Amino acid sequence: MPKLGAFPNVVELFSRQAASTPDRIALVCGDDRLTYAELDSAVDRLAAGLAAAGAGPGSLVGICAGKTAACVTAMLAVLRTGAAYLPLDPAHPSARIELVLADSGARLLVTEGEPVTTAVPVLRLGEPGGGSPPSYVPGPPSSPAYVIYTSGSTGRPKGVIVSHRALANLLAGMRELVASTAGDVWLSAASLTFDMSVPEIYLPLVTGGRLVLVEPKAAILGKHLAALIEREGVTHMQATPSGWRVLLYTGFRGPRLTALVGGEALPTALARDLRPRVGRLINMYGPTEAAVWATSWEVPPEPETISLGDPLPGATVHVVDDRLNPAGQGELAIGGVCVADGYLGRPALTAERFVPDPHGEPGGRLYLTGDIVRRTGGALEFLHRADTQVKVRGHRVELGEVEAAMDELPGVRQAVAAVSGDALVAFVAGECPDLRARLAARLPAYMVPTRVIRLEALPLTPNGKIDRRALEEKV
Amino acid sequence: MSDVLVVVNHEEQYSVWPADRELPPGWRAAGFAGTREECLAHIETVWTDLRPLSARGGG
Repeated sequence: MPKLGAFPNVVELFSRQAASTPDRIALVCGDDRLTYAELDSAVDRLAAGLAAAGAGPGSLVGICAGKTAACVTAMLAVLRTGAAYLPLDPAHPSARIELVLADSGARLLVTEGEPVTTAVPVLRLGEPGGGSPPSYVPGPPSSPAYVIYTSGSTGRPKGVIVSHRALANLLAGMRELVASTAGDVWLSAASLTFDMSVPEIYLPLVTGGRLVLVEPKAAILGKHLAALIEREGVTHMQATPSGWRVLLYTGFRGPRLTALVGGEALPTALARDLRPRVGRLINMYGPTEAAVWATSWEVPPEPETISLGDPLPGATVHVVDDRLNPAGQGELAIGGVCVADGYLGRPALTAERFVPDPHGEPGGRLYLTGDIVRRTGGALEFLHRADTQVKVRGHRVELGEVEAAMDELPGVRQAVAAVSGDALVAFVAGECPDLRARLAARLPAYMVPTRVIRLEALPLTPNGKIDRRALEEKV
Repeated sequence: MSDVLVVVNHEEQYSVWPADRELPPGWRAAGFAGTREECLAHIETVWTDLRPLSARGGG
């Protein structure tokens, strides 16, 4: 048994769980079933290999793999060496993966298939690991657990550093919120680069429950998903509004299911459709910068309006004006132990968005979300963004990043991106016949506009800025 | 115009704060004032290790 610290982190929580329920099924992936003891020993073997390759406290290890047992093993194994991990999506273009790897400074990459890059040493999953891992000594609670990249408005994605303390706090809060116990079965369908995957992977594994993995691309097939939920006896599942819609089209009913919805604003009509079909429906809200979920709202039968709800334990929320004074309507700021360390290698950007918290613990910080909200009665209502960040099927996209990528293409004079329903649309002045293919070679698929509208020139406002409103009317 | 201060907390995390407002508990002035942009540019050069101070022991 590893020595347990006063503040149990996810590695310690999983070790305790594996020691107390070694023979229970921990993880299901297709036909693979791993008990807690099997998963624990696979984690140990890989941690030994990782440590021999140089992973340890202070280092960052990339993991490029699909949603498989090997990938979950890799996440826990990296953490067991004391290092932090950086999830990379093998479905993303290799140019994107290399950009993120280089930006992160990761010195080691764990991959499932063919190595996507030769820029850093690669450890292949499934290769026999060597020896026993170094004994686990938990690092300080403030040490990083993972780095997840999100879209960056200036054209460069940014890595959000989340600490062990913030992660442990999230798991404790979620455990209480959904009363997750050893009898529960969590379905995990979110991509590893989408931080919604964090609680759905770890929570079952630290509570003695069962984790059922499904590839994101399989989860968009509603019938497949509904059958999997039925067959595996799934009790808890998170999805974006678009994800739940896919299930609803199949006529899905899950009276025992605790349904968590998040990643983008929940439409009232969807909440009304979904609520009677599931046991519980909880609207979750939070940015990656506040360790996944910061607030929750139990959706009542026949909701009139949608609320972001109340803060999870360890989070505080404030509606503030531009001088951080309390306001009835304004920007939502999040404080507490859930707040991330900041953006990897981006001190000015971190200092701008993570500011002193005048209301919290001495020296605490508030993360300014850029979400404009208002308090009405007891509800906290999302209104709009303060900038041009949008959600595309739950994925967070800075339109500025898509625009910067288009601006760099030969033949493009000027380009603007906008969102229309579930789709990204590009307005382009200039000639670039293979614009979508060129973007697909460097951006994740959800950041590639599905429609390209060509214009002689982009409309301008009286003060010479691009008139986004006039463009949106052309969709 | 020096309307913004560079401030720092016990974890050696930097941020900016309006010069005309009382500092929040646990934060001190880091000795640089200027416009918001100047302060952020200063932070870009002085905040070289983003890890909280308590997490820097490990390597």
